[in-house]
Amino acid sequence: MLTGSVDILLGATAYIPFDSWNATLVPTAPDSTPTGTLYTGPNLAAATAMGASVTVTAITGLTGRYVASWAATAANGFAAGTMYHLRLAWVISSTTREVWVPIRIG
Amino acid sequence: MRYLGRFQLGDYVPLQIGTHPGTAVAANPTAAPTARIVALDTPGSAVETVNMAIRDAYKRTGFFLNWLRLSSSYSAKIYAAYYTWAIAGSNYSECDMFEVVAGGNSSGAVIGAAVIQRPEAEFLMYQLDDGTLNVRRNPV
Repeated sequence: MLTGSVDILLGATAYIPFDSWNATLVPTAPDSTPTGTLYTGPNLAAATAMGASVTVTAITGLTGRYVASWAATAANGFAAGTMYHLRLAWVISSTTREVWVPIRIG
Repeated sequence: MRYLGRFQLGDYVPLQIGTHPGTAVAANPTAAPTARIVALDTPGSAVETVNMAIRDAYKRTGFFLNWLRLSSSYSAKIYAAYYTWAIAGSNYSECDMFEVVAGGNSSGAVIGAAVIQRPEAEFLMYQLDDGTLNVRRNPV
Protein backbone atom coordinates (compact mmCIF):
# COMPACT_ATOMS: atom_id res chain seq x y z
CA MET A 1 0.00 0.00 0.00
CA LEU A 2 2.91 2.36 0.19
CA THR A 3 4.70 3.61 -2.82
CA GLY A 4 7.73 5.07 -4.47
CA SER A 5 7.29 8.41 -6.14
CA VAL A 6 5.02 8.63 -9.15
CA ASP A 7 6.20 10.46 -12.27
CA ILE A 8 3.62 12.77 -13.84
CA LEU A 9 4.07 15.06 -16.80
CA LEU A 10 3.30 18.74 -16.27
CA GLY A 11 0.01 19.54 -17.96
CA ALA A 12 -1.32 15.97 -17.85
CA THR A 13 -4.23 14.58 -15.92
CA ALA A 14 -2.76 12.60 -13.01
CA TYR A 15 -4.23 9.33 -11.81
CA ILE A 16 -3.40 7.45 -8.60
CA PRO A 17 -5.11 4.12 -7.80
CA PHE A 18 -5.58 3.10 -4.18
CA ASP A 19 -7.47 0.78 -1.80
CA SER A 20 -9.49 1.81 1.24
CA TRP A 21 -8.56 -0.87 3.78
CA ASN A 22 -9.72 -1.43 7.32
CA ALA A 23 -7.78 -2.31 10.47
CA THR A 24 -6.95 -5.78 9.14
CA LEU A 25 -6.06 -4.55 5.63
CA VAL A 26 -9.27 -5.89 4.11
CA PRO A 27 -10.51 -3.60 1.31
CA THR A 28 -13.67 -2.07 2.73
CA ALA A 29 -16.27 0.41 1.55
CA PRO A 30 -15.69 3.55 3.66
CA ASP A 31 -18.41 5.55 5.36
CA SER A 32 -18.21 8.10 2.53
CA THR A 33 -16.18 8.70 -0.60
CA PRO A 34 -12.45 9.03 0.23
CA THR A 35 -10.81 12.43 -0.14
CA GLY A 36 -7.56 13.54 -1.74
CA THR A 37 -5.47 16.58 -0.84
CA LEU A 38 -2.29 17.72 -2.54
CA TYR A 39 0.60 19.20 -0.59
CA THR A 40 3.74 21.01 -1.59
CA GLY A 41 7.00 19.13 -1.18
CA PRO A 42 9.47 17.63 -0.86
CA ASN A 43 9.70 18.44 2.86
CA LEU A 44 6.45 17.22 4.39
CA ALA A 45 7.22 18.98 7.67
CA ALA A 46 6.91 22.31 5.86
CA ALA A 47 4.21 21.25 3.41
CA THR A 48 1.14 23.32 2.79
CA ALA A 49 -2.10 22.22 1.19
CA MET A 50 -2.59 23.19 -2.44
CA GLY A 51 -5.80 24.36 -3.97
CA ALA A 52 -5.97 21.81 -6.77
CA SER A 53 -9.19 19.83 -6.71
CA VAL A 54 -8.79 16.04 -6.47
CA THR A 55 -11.57 13.80 -7.79
CA VAL A 56 -11.98 10.32 -6.28
CA THR A 57 -13.87 7.73 -8.32
CA ALA A 58 -14.83 4.18 -7.33
CA ILE A 59 -13.69 1.31 -9.51
CA THR A 60 -16.77 -0.49 -10.78
CA GLY A 61 -17.23 -3.99 -9.41
CA LEU A 62 -14.47 -3.87 -6.79
CA THR A 63 -15.19 -3.00 -3.16
CA GLY A 64 -12.90 -0.42 -1.62
CA ARG A 65 -10.92 0.37 -4.78
CA TYR A 66 -10.61 3.91 -6.07
CA VAL A 67 -8.73 6.20 -8.39
CA ALA A 68 -7.81 9.78 -7.52
CA SER A 69 -7.31 12.23 -10.37
CA TRP A 70 -6.45 15.90 -10.83
CA ALA A 71 -5.04 18.28 -13.40
CA ALA A 72 -1.28 18.58 -12.91
CA THR A 73 -1.11 21.98 -14.56
CA ALA A 74 0.86 25.15 -13.91
CA ALA A 75 -2.46 26.91 -13.30
CA ASN A 76 -3.01 24.52 -10.38
CA GLY A 77 0.40 25.41 -8.94
CA PHE A 78 2.57 22.60 -10.29
CA ALA A 79 6.04 23.11 -11.72
CA ALA A 80 8.33 20.71 -13.58
CA GLY A 81 11.11 19.13 -11.55
CA THR A 82 9.31 19.55 -8.25
CA MET A 83 8.09 17.04 -5.66
CA TYR A 84 4.62 17.06 -4.15
CA HIS A 85 2.58 14.74 -1.93
CA LEU A 86 -0.94 13.43 -2.26
CA ARG A 87 -2.80 12.53 0.95
CA LEU A 88 -5.60 10.03 0.46
CA ALA A 89 -7.92 9.62 3.43
CA TRP A 90 -11.05 7.63 4.22
CA VAL A 91 -13.19 6.87 7.25
CA ILE A 92 -14.34 3.39 8.27
CA SER A 93 -16.45 3.08 11.43
CA SER A 94 -15.41 6.58 12.51
CA THR A 95 -11.69 5.81 12.20
CA THR A 96 -9.74 7.83 9.66
CA ARG A 97 -7.05 6.03 7.67
CA GLU A 98 -4.68 7.55 5.18
CA VAL A 99 -1.83 7.00 2.75
CA TRP A 100 0.65 9.52 1.41
CA VAL A 101 1.86 9.27 -2.19
CA PRO A 102 5.00 11.18 -3.28
CA ILE A 103 4.47 12.84 -6.67
CA ARG A 104 7.21 14.04 -9.00
CA ILE A 105 6.25 16.41 -11.80
CA GLY A 106 8.44 16.10 -14.89
CA MET B 1 0.66 1.06 -4.52
CA ARG B 2 3.76 0.97 -6.67
CA TYR B 3 4.52 2.88 -9.82
CA LEU B 4 5.87 0.30 -12.27
CA GLY B 5 7.07 2.77 -14.91
CA ARG B 6 6.43 3.49 -18.56
CA PHE B 7 6.01 0.84 -21.25
CA GLN B 8 5.21 0.58 -24.97
CA LEU B 9 2.85 -1.74 -26.80
CA GLY B 10 4.37 -5.21 -27.08
CA ASP B 11 6.28 -4.84 -23.81
CA TYR B 12 5.70 -7.11 -20.86
CA VAL B 13 4.74 -5.48 -17.55
CA PRO B 14 5.93 -7.44 -14.48
CA LEU B 15 2.91 -7.63 -12.19
CA GLN B 16 4.09 -8.98 -8.85
CA ILE B 17 2.31 -9.44 -5.57
CA GLY B 18 3.18 -10.79 -2.15
CA THR B 19 0.05 -12.20 -0.54
CA HIS B 20 -0.61 -11.85 3.19
CA PRO B 21 -3.51 -12.29 5.62
CA GLY B 22 -3.56 -8.67 6.77
CA THR B 23 -0.32 -9.02 8.71
CA ALA B 24 3.34 -8.69 7.82
CA VAL B 25 3.64 -12.46 7.42
CA ALA B 26 3.39 -13.90 3.91
CA ALA B 27 0.78 -16.59 3.37
CA ASN B 28 -0.52 -18.49 0.37
CA PRO B 29 -4.08 -17.65 -0.69
CA THR B 30 -6.80 -20.22 -1.20
CA ALA B 31 -6.70 -19.66 -4.98
CA ALA B 32 -4.54 -17.81 -7.47
CA PRO B 33 -4.69 -14.03 -6.95
CA THR B 34 -6.25 -12.04 -9.76
CA ALA B 35 -5.19 -8.74 -11.26
CA ARG B 36 -7.94 -6.59 -12.73
CA ILE B 37 -6.46 -4.15 -15.24
CA VAL B 38 -8.29 -0.84 -15.50
CA ALA B 39 -7.61 2.23 -17.64
CA LEU B 40 -7.77 4.94 -15.02
CA ASP B 41 -9.55 7.47 -17.25
CA THR B 42 -12.41 4.96 -17.68
CA PRO B 43 -12.67 3.16 -14.31
CA GLY B 44 -16.12 1.79 -15.11
CA SER B 45 -14.79 -1.22 -17.01
CA ALA B 46 -11.82 -3.56 -16.95
CA VAL B 47 -9.43 -4.05 -19.84
CA GLU B 48 -8.91 -7.63 -18.69
CA THR B 49 -8.58 -9.73 -15.56
CA VAL B 50 -5.63 -12.12 -15.32
CA ASN B 51 -4.64 -14.81 -12.86
CA MET B 52 -1.31 -14.54 -11.09
CA ALA B 53 1.00 -17.56 -11.20
CA ILE B 54 2.95 -18.63 -8.15
CA ARG B 55 6.72 -18.26 -8.35
CA ASP B 56 9.25 -20.49 -6.74
CA ALA B 57 6.47 -22.43 -5.04
CA TYR B 58 8.67 -24.51 -2.78
CA LYS B 59 10.94 -21.77 -1.42
CA ARG B 60 8.96 -18.57 -1.08
CA THR B 61 5.45 -18.31 0.29
CA GLY B 62 2.91 -16.02 -1.30
CA PHE B 63 4.98 -14.65 -4.19
CA PHE B 64 3.03 -14.36 -7.44
CA LEU B 65 3.94 -12.98 -10.86
CA ASN B 66 2.26 -12.33 -14.19
CA TRP B 67 4.10 -10.92 -17.19
CA LEU B 68 1.30 -8.81 -18.69
CA ARG B 69 1.75 -8.42 -22.43
CA LEU B 70 0.58 -5.07 -23.76
CA SER B 71 -1.59 -6.18 -26.67
CA SER B 72 -3.82 -4.16 -28.97
CA SER B 73 -6.27 -3.86 -26.06
CA TYR B 74 -3.99 -1.17 -24.63
CA SER B 75 -3.24 2.37 -25.77
CA ALA B 76 -1.28 5.37 -24.52
CA LYS B 77 -2.96 5.78 -21.13
CA ILE B 78 -2.38 5.22 -17.43
CA TYR B 79 -3.48 1.84 -16.10
CA ALA B 80 -3.83 0.22 -12.70
CA ALA B 81 -3.62 -3.42 -11.69
CA TYR B 82 -5.98 -4.08 -8.77
CA TYR B 83 -4.89 -7.36 -7.15
CA THR B 84 -7.28 -9.47 -5.09
CA TRP B 85 -6.68 -12.65 -3.12
CA ALA B 86 -8.51 -14.52 -0.36
CA ILE B 87 -7.19 -16.16 2.80
CA ALA B 88 -9.43 -17.86 5.34
CA GLY B 89 -12.53 -16.28 3.88
CA SER B 90 -11.29 -12.68 3.81
CA ASN B 91 -10.41 -10.77 0.66
CA TYR B 92 -7.24 -8.68 0.56
CA SER B 93 -5.98 -6.27 -2.04
CA GLU B 94 -3.11 -4.21 -3.39
CA CYS B 95 -2.75 -2.10 -6.49
CA ASP B 96 0.00 -0.97 -8.86
CA MET B 97 -0.02 1.51 -11.69
CA PHE B 98 1.85 1.75 -14.99
CA GLU B 99 1.79 4.01 -18.00
CA VAL B 100 1.65 3.04 -21.66
CA VAL B 101 3.38 5.58 -23.88
CA ALA B 102 3.27 5.92 -27.65
CA GLY B 103 5.35 3.55 -29.75
CA GLY B 104 6.08 -0.15 -29.82
CA ASN B 105 4.04 -2.78 -31.61
CA SER B 106 1.10 -4.61 -30.09
CA SER B 107 2.20 -7.86 -31.75
CA GLY B 108 5.42 -7.80 -29.74
CA ALA B 109 8.92 -8.90 -30.64
CA VAL B 110 10.23 -11.62 -32.94
CA ILE B 111 10.53 -14.83 -30.94
CA GLY B 112 11.67 -17.16 -33.73
CA ALA B 113 12.77 -17.02 -37.36
CA ALA B 114 13.78 -19.35 -40.17
CA VAL B 115 15.32 -18.79 -43.59
CA ILE B 116 13.85 -20.86 -46.42
CA GLN B 117 15.86 -21.00 -49.63
CA ARG B 118 13.96 -21.53 -52.86
CA PRO B 119 15.15 -21.26 -56.46
CA GLU B 120 13.15 -18.10 -57.10
CA ALA B 121 13.95 -16.28 -53.85
CA GLU B 122 14.97 -16.54 -50.21
CA PHE B 123 12.16 -16.35 -47.67
CA LEU B 124 12.35 -15.25 -44.07
CA MET B 125 9.56 -16.58 -41.89
CA TYR B 126 9.24 -15.24 -38.35
CA GLN B 127 6.81 -15.39 -35.45
CA LEU B 128 5.88 -12.58 -33.10
CA ASP B 129 4.92 -12.66 -29.42
CA ASP B 130 1.20 -12.72 -30.21
CA GLY B 131 1.58 -15.78 -32.45
CA THR B 132 1.45 -13.91 -35.75
CA LEU B 133 3.46 -15.59 -38.52
CA ASN B 134 4.96 -13.34 -41.18
CA VAL B 135 6.90 -14.10 -44.36
CA ARG B 136 9.20 -11.77 -46.23
CA ARG B 137 11.10 -12.54 -49.44
CA ASN B 138 14.18 -11.36 -51.25
CA PRO B 139 14.06 -10.36 -54.03
CA VAL B 140 10.62 -8.90 -53.59
